[in-house]
Amino acid sequence: MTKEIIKRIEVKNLSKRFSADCKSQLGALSIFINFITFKKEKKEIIVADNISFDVHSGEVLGVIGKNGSGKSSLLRLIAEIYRPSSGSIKTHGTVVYLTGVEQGIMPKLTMRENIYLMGSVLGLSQRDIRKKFDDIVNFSGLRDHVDMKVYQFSTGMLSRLNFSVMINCISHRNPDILLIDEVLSAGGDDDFQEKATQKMEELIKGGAAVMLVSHDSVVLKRYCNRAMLLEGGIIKEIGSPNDVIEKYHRS
Amino acid sequence: MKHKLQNILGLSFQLAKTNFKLRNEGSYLGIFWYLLEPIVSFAVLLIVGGILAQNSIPYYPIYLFIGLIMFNFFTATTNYSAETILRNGSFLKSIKINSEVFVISGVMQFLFSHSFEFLLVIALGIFLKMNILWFIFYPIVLFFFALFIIGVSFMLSVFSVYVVDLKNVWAVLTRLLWFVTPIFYIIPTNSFVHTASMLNPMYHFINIARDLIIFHRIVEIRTFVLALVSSVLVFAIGLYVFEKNKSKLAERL
Repeated sequence: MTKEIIKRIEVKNLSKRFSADCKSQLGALSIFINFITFKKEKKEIIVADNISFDVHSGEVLGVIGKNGSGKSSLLRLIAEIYRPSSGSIKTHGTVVYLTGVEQGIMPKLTMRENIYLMGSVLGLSQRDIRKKFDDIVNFSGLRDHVDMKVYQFSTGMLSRLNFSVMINCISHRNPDILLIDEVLSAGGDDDFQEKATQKMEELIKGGAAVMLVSHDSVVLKRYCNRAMLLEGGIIKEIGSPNDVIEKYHRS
Repeated sequence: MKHKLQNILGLSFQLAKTNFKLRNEGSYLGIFWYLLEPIVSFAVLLIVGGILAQNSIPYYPIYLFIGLIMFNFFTATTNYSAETILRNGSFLKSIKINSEVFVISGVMQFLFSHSFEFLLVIALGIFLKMNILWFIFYPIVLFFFALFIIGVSFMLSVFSVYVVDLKNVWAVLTRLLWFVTPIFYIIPTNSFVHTASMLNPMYHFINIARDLIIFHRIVEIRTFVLALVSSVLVFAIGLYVFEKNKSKLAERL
């Protein structure tokens, strides 16, 4: 069976601006004063400026750039967490956005309860979570701690738990588009790291269209077919990973 | 559409259950700690309003308790909602999720505790040898009251993203509302305050519930219908405001 190559992500002339007002100007009083004096102070941050590119199924596009160059924002735009200011993004298929941040682990709940909570937030039904539960626990290697409260976990254990839940819930949903934001550097000891990398690899090579944000040039060279260098919301370079990474290091 | 609604309600319930459990964390006394606050204010107000002021309201303890817990439900929920989007910022920024879930689960969570409080009212009613039968109509009032609260919560949760100190402002406003709502007193019928109270939605909801439970009657049908219609309206407006703005929420966090 040959897999047809489909255009999964189409980004056309995408621009995104954030209005950046400082926190103190958001108080009720200052909003009121600004309103009655018709004062408008607006600064803008441009995180994407007229960006266009496509990603096809089976392709892995690496995204590299300095902090604040708009990498995460770009992924969030594609994941529809943010809305574009202008331009268009078309995605075909289910989109999954993965970050390394420990999303919503509740320290006062047991590991079991946390798995159920995170699973349902990630969009699984109770029945699906019950089916997946053993996989998740086995993968994390924390079977002895299932009914322990999570605040007593070490940092490494937390990232194990987080990663196990994420990866299992996500592969359950069979994503067509995978947006990975610095996940590969998740903590944990060598054993787990190896297992995690393997699982990620499976997911990346599963035929989905993948966008991979990373600062690790080894990772990028290993997985990506193409890479993109972002700077101030502009695509500086797009092409073969080796060239792009070299350019990034030179700048 | 139906599927989506089911999804939202299911996840809201799940979150509400978790948060409720978290709040009453760990001990069997958990629920008791939660109920302690309304019971204490009830006891104090009962002494002040019922015994010292010698008022002539029949079943004053019930009159007081209903007002107290209904108002509590409103204040607790709305004050919680004024922070709810900020509290769940990390979720909103990392998962594409129906953000209604956070608001609705907040309301559900307080609905649970409200139900426990209402059980206390029933117990008190039995103790005072009231006709318990009329208590079964309360869920109807509660349904519309909850709709009203959800509507207000939707609006507050949106505004809270634009106005950072909204929760402080709202805390003061609800405190003011507490004093102008007849919770532990009765408003004289022919006074200026009475006319002004007509604009206070809390006055109407609490009044309807009390009339049903204590006096076994429905208030003037016009007021009744108006209260129900306006609660649906507030819900609709809240939902509209939320839907209009929800895609911008993640960016402002």
